[in-house]
Amino acid sequence: MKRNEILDKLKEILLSADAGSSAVIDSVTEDTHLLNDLGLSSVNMLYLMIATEEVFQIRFDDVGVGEFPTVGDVVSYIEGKLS
Amino acid sequence: MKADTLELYRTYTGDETFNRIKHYETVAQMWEDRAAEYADLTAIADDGKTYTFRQLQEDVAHFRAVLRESGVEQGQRVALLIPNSYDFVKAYLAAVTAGCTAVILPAHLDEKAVYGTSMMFGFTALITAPATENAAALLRQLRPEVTLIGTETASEEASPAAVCAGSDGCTVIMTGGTTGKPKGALLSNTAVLQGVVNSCLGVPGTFEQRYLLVLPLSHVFGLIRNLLASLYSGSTLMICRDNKNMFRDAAMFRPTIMVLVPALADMALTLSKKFGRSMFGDSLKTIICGAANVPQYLVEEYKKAGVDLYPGYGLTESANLVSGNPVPLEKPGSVGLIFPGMEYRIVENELWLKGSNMMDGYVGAQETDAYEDGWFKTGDLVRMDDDGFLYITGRIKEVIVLSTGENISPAELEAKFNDLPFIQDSQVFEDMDENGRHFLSLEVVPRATEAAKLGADAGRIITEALQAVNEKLQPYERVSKIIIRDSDFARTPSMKIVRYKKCQ
Repeated sequence: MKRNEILDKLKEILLSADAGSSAVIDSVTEDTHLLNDLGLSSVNMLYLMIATEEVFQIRFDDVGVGEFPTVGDVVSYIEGKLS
Repeated sequence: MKADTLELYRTYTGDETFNRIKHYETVAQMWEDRAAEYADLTAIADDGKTYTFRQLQEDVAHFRAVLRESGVEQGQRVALLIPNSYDFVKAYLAAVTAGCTAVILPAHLDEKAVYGTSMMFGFTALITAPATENAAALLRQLRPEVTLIGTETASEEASPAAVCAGSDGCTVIMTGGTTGKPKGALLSNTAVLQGVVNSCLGVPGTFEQRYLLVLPLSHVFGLIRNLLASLYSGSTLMICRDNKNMFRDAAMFRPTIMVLVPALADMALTLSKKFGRSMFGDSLKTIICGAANVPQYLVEEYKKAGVDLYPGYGLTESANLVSGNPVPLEKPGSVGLIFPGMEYRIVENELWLKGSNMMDGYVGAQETDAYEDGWFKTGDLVRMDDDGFLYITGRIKEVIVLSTGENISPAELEAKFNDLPFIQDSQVFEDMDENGRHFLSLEVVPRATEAAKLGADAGRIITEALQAVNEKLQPYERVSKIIIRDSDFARTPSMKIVRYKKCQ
């Protein structure tokens, strides 16, 4: 799966994680900061990880919640797991 | 006025459950009695292992011996710095049944904070797990008189439970109180047990359930409503060590009851809808929800899925629950009926409380205006309907309660931002975006003379410095928005900042 496809799926998850309006999520890029730009709470982050595991069928087995500063960091982690 | 709600609660609880509720004077008595009654049932499931009540009782007796062999004496304070685990349960029960007061420290505290709590609470021993041992390094160096005990320490001896009184200290739980300044609420054996009994009221079929623990045991809701209520009721408690695995644990363990903060209940609901299956499994029948405002839609949406979600209201200072709503569909938005025997007053809309579940006071720091005429002033604004159902209408205390149940002390955070030389004053407050989502914001007033020295780049330098402070906070404490003001805050006649109340 290409990075932009991973990013699109992540945006869907972010929208359902209540991380902002569709306008906000549409503008999300790999540089978007999860905390500073989207204001994700610890529970939003937990949602992001659990939903990502379900959607991509991967496991965040070696990292904790909150260890991803940006959307791009999450994309890279997923990309690594999928490869 | 004393809450005369016993018969109502009997009706809502149902005779079968209600008649099984026993009263004990001390946690030691409760534990010994329940451990004998449920000896062969599974008490705890943790890290791939299960422990019966009998095994736990034996492990507790051996760890009491460890405490005594380490020089710990009845009446002393013993701190626990242990993440959620079987070892926490073993160490906690050993400490309180040895007649000590267990001081529960959040397991994420760093070494400076651990040292600080030792000064604040005056504990004579600290029990650590392998994962938290390093956080005791500074304490070991600066206060060698505090005995350090590892959870893995064993003894071949088994030591009997101590004989103590209901009025003896049992547990200290850290709280921000009404001002947010860290301190401990000292709960007696009587208070803790009343909190446990209150847990069983209004919830039919409380006994012999399967609980999945996802809340921290350093929080009163996790410790009393989850752990102790589970042990008291002969239930099995499965300990979820990492919340990102909670649904995998749930799929395996199939909990029948969960104790959740609203944000977690909401998250599970959203995920269940997204993936078309019940994330907590099909055995779940009951959710106890509290520690923050419970939106009515959670009650209604869970009901559609066959799960009864009961909102409740409680405080660390009241050993958890003050009230519970056994009929949330009939009384939407209410936190329920005040538990039997509690005394309450509503003074200028603020709830004041007395009762056997109330703390014996704060330790570590005092709040001079926490009490008036012997009544504990909750800082919560309420109204009560004609049927005695309580509604929270606002709060006058400064502390911000996030939907995750975590308490934020604005003053504590502001002090950290105010440490920057070019910040004169700041205000941390709960803000809301156009979608109604709540988040933390920071507004600062720069110190004009210092800011001037920064030249044309002042705005950028100040913002970066504030962000650097922000990054060092606990994740849940961090602000999501920073505004640099060009004028002072509105002030009261006594020059205190007028606090924003954007979300009330």
